[in-house]
Amino acid sequence: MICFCRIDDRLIHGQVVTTWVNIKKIEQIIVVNDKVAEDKIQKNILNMAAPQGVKVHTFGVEKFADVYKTTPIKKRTMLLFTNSIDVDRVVELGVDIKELNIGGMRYQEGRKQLTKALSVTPEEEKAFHSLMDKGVDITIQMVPNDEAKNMREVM
Amino acid sequence: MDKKVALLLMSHGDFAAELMRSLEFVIGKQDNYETLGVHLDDQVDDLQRQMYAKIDSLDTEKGLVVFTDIVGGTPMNLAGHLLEREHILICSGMNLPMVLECSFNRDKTIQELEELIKAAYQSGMVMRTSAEFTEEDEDDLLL
Repeated sequence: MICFCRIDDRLIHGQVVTTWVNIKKIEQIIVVNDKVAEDKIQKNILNMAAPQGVKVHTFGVEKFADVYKTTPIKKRTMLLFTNSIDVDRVVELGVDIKELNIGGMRYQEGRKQLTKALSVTPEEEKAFHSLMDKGVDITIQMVPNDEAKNMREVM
Repeated sequence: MDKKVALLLMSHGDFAAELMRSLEFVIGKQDNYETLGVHLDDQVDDLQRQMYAKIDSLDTEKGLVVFTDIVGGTPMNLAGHLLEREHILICSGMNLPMVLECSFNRDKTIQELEELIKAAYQSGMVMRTSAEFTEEDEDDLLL
């Protein structure tokens, strides 16, 4: 069961493990990212970053869509992405995502800053629009204590 | 909303105040807490007055948890004066996992917090070595 979907370019870190994992009673984190899936060291770091008892799996974008079709997700699962393009892609490949939390996509040169924690490239902005057009409800909220902002307000 | 236990963090230097800054960075803004740092030129009498003034500014109806850095240090000795009060818990060895756990459970009683904070102190310490570096086995994938 996918209980929570989040975009966070830091993937698993303090805000995620101390707040969201507890509040959503997460048993498993699935990281969906092509680069990380290829990186043995990064995968090991992610495994170690998860709280005790929380299993971490990492898949590339296409691979996750395949796995999703063949393997039922039984555990209470958090999907973690680093960007909106990957989310839009898995939704197009048939993964059922109705709500999306934005934790952070950090500012770098050449990115448009929408909020303190959210900056986008033109491609990422397009992907957000595409997701909203598909009916995905997108909220920006770093930690549960923060006020949740709807993506439509900032775009 | 339920009442929350009050928190007072005391340390040598600015550790206590900075710990709360780090904590708020991780889990968001907190309330009903104070911090007190002991610096080289501080007088103990004055620190004690400051400590009581800070506690007076808190709502301690549900209790007060005091975190200090090291056993035997001035912050811990100052905290010792508070033991005549009721519903108080003083913990030394303050670290982020302990205060995080406490922050998530401030609606609980002082007795319950005692156990939770102790457990957080223990589970917050993890050591890793290269022996744990593993390859994921994809043959028996269970999600």
